[in-house]
Amino acid sequence: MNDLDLVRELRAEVPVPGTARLASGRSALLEAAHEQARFAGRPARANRTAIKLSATAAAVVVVAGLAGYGIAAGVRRSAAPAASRTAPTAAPQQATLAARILRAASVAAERVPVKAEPSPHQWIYSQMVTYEYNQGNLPPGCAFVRGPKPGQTQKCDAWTRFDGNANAFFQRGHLVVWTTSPAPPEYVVNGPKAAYDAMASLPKNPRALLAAAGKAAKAYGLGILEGLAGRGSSLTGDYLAMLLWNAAGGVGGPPQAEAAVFHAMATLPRVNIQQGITDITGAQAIGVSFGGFKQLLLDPVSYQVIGLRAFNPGRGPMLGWPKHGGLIVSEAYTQVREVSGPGIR
Amino acid sequence: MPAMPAERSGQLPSDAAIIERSWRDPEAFAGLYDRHAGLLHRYAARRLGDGAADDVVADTFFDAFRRRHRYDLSFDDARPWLYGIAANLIGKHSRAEVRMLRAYARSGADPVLAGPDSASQMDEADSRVSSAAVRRELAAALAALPAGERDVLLMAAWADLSYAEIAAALRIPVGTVRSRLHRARTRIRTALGGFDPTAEREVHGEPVQ
Repeated sequence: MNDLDLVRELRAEVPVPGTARLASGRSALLEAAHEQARFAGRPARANRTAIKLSATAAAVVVVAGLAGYGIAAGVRRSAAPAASRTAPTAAPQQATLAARILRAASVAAERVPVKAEPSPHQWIYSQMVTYEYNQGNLPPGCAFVRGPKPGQTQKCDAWTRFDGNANAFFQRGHLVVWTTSPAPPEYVVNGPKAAYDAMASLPKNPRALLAAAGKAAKAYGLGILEGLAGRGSSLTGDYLAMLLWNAAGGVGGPPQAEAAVFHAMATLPRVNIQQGITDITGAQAIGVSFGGFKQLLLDPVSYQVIGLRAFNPGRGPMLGWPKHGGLIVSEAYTQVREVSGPGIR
Repeated sequence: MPAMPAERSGQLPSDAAIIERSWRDPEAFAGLYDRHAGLLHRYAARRLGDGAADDVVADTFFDAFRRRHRYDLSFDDARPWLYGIAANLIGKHSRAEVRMLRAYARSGADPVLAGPDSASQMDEADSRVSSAAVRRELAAALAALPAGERDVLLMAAWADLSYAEIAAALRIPVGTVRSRLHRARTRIRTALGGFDPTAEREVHGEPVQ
């Protein structure tokens, strides 16, 4: 036995811990991962240029604009752009405004021409601008751009297969294509198809739709963060926002299904609308939130989903997040289109 | 460009493949935890005890998760990366580690093994190590090592990392790993009363003999 063997034997009786001992660390990790999955499950988004503003939708915009221009008291404002720092709108006015905006979005979605669902192997190119608090990492395919904080706003080019089981990006000038095993069907952030199919499977009746979405939100696991999201948040609303956001990363949802989702959202009790805001690229947007910390951004003209923001709802800094109300994530697509293969723009 | 690791049917995905997947599917990172947390915990527990090891492992994986986009996918095995992160965290407990080693050397009771089974564990251990006295001298010698040498020695002895893996973990040249290990072993042998050194065969990339 040499000296190294003696060292090897020292404390050799310390056991490899069982799963019970490791469980809390695993839970903490999964919680953080789950949190990122909600915001960062970002498949590419399809070409939405076909969506044209209809005369009806335009008229609704004007009416909605007259109805109120403000921000709900429940929406965090500390990191919002200066343009959005307007006086809170009273609750009844908020409810009216939310109903009008979301019904207008429903009408706009309904008018999108129906197209066949893309093949699972259809490739989609996307360019996204993304900001994440205190995140200096630069994933492949991304480059830093000017943003709210230097070194934290990135522009990313990526290719995603519609079924979400293949992705591609350029790394050091080389195209890298990854294929992965399929995710479970309830994992709606796996790719555009998962969100498309999940949306298509929802009932059209608003009450039934919300019931089904609430059940799916729990199955997906949003309940893990129920306490974190704060009292008064709507997991159902957050789930539907997540579906819209991830479907928007492909070709959107089936128009009728997307219209039904917006329509049902309008009946949720705690919808907050924030107008006059801009997304991470500076584009005008309407923010829709559900009493929690996620805010879906809609184009104020076409009502298509253009971005997502999230704020820290918590009781203080945690998981490397900013102070209460601070901006955690802001994402917006600048380009999305179906392409014939990975690497093709 | 190095060949990219991939998930191949019938084979377990490499660590790099799990990390790459976690870029798009953050929850996939739990696969890395399931694969490495147990042995990493044992390594940390041997150095700091169970309680601190819980924190070190949780913090290591949380830190790794946050930094996963910076992982170099040309390295299939993520252990050096994880142990490197853990080494930094363990380094923050360096005083406690040395204190426990000294306490062990003084009293013969190892704080790391303190618990209902510690007595029987120590009896069992005594049958493997020549004597409790040697263990106490060894603990004193480990306590006296510079932190950098202790890291290298214990990564080789307790984590079974090769020279190259230790170098990657600690971000130091392989030559520095060799020289630190040599110095550490010399100190250990001296502390143990001129223990007869055993000839070493050092093969780059192979586990330390």
